[in-house]
Parts: sequence; structure tokens; C-alpha cells
Amino acid sequence: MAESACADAVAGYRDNALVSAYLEGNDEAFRVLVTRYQGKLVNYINTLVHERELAVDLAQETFIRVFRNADRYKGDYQFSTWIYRIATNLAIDELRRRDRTQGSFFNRVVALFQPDGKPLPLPDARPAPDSALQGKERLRRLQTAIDSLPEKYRLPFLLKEIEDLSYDAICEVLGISLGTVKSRIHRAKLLLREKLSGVL
Amino acid sequence: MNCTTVERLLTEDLGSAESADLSRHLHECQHCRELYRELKSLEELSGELKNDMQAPAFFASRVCARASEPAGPRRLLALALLTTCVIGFSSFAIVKSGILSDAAVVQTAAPSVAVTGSATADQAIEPLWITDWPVAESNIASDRGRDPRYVEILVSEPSESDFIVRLPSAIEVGSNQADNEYYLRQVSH
Repeated sequence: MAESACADAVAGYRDNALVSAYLEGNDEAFRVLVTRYQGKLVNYINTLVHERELAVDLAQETFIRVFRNADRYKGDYQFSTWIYRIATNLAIDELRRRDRTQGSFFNRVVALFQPDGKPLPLPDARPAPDSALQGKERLRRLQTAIDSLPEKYRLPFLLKEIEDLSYDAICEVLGISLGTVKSRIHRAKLLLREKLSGVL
Repeated sequence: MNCTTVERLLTEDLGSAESADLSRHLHECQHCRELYRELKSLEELSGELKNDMQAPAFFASRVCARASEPAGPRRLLALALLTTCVIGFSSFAIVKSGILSDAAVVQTAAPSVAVTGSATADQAIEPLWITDWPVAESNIASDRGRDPRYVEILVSEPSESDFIVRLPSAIEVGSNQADNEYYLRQVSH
């Protein structure tokens, strides 16, 4: 009951105030922060790693790092910027690790076979019927196109278009200048336009 | 306003199409009108990826529970606890069989896990094997194709049948009998 009352008391606080409350000993303030960002963070990480369980684990790790380094948060930039920066770094580390382990010739050959040794069926290369291009198929095509973007274009695009971060926040998250952020998003959109020709 | 400027403005913010200058250009230029339509479609499609997934139930509770755990690598902590239990059991067996009085001086090639706090993983320890032990060095069965997590020692006692003591390879002991007795007492407690 007391915990619930504590949580209610801070539920309307801004992020920075919650961090301050947590540093002053109010553990429920941290729970409110987690609850506030958990869905967005899991969703964001999942758009990068495409594996729900892994996205949940990385989101959890993000919050743990935030928790353990809360005293280093200065409040001179938005709290959301900070957690997105940590989450982005964790996800990128995971993707690079995955590239290293899955990128070897041996692993690529192994990936062509099912556990029982039979070759995996080849992907269906036939054009999908028009009706299938609706809904999930269009989304799948978009996701594939986003994944194929170079990392330097993919990250700012996702942060802007999916996470609705401001240009300034994206600068903070990625540690690059405003001009670079704008030009990379510009390039990302033009590349996606090319890749999604016939879908848009 | 030329097409390059329009392209830059539209990719930066589609809302800028509502400005009078840009709106006029779009009305006159089919190429830019098509670009606007496709960027609008891209924006709408991307919007469908938003909040597609929710955090699992009790996510916040799990995070808060984990956050309240003591800091430090959880795996190392778990390994240290497990190793302590195994060493404790092995030590109990040694003490029970009376071997400790003969000075259990054992050193494996593997660096020690800092279970007792007297050594750390990055300390290089020279393999010492056995001294003051009533068995020959050749009786050590570890590091010879066996499970690297353990060292097995064949103990021959004049009054009893031979038997094998199996110790975790992470066991950390010194060359001094008194140290080892202290160590074994520690881990067996």
C-alpha cells in the first residue's frame, strides 16, 4: 500500500524529477520511469534486432545501466535521450556480435540446412499477388528495406520516424551534428523510396 | 524554389509542403508532387511500426528486482557460489578421510576464481601440483583429457584401499600446509 502511494505520488513527475526522486531514495520513482519507457524501448530495440526475447533482455539491461549510473545523469539533456543512447549502443553491439558469428562461411553454410540435415526450402521468388501487398506484406517489405540500409542511415531514420525523437535528441543519442542527422535522414528516405518502388 | 531545395525540405519535414512557396512548386512540378506522395506514404507506413510490441507482463517488477541485486557480474557471482559449494563438499570429504593431516597441497594449472578473496582470476599462478602429499605426481589425473573443471587425485593410503579425490580445478591453495588447512577450513564452513 505504501509503495503504491509512493508510486502514485510521483506518477505525474517529469523524467528529470523522477531521476532526482530516485536518487533521494524513492525506489518507486525508478519503477515509474521503467513503466513509462518499457514499451517504447522494447519496440525500438526490436526494430533493430528482430527478436522479441532479445529485445526484452536488452531493454532490461538498458534500465539496469540507467539505474546503476543514475547519479551520473546531469539533466542537461532529456532523460529519453540518455536511455535511447544506451539502448542503441547495446543493440548495435549485439548486431555486430551477431554479424561476426553468423558472417563466417561455415555458419552461412550451416544456416542453409535444417537441424535434420535437409536443405532449407528456397524462398519464394514469385511476385506476391496484389492483395498480399496490403497490410503485413507492405510492412514486411518496409522492414526489409530499413534493415538493408547502412547503419549510419538506419539509426537516425528509426529514431526520427518510429520513435518520434526530435532532431536535437537524435544528435545527442548518436553523438553527431544536426547537419549530419538531417542529411542522413534525407538520404535514408530517398534510399527507402528507391527500395520500396511499387509499394509506396 | 528549385527541385533540390524542395526535396531537402520535404525529407526534413513533410509539413513544410503547406508553406505557400512549396505548395506552389508542388502544384507546378509533377516530379516533386510524386516525391511528396511517396514520402507521405512512407511516413504512414512507418507509423505502423510504432508501438507494434509491448513489454511483457511484470517487466517493470523484474527490472526493479534485478536492479536491487548487488552490483557485479551475476555469472561470476553464481560461479563463485557454485564453486564454493563444490569445494566445500570436496573438502569435507578430505577432512573426513583424514588426508588434511598429511597436508593437502594441491595446485592446478587453472587460475583460481576468487572464492576466498585471497586470489583473483588475473593472478598468474604457476602450476605446483603436489608437494607433501603421500601420493606421486603421476597420480594426478587432471589436465589429461579429463573434464577440465576438475582435478582428480589418486590417493594411496597404506592402511586403506586407494581412492580418488575429485576437486574442482578452480580450487586455490598455496604451497604452505598451514595456508591450505586454513583454506580448507574456510571453504568447508
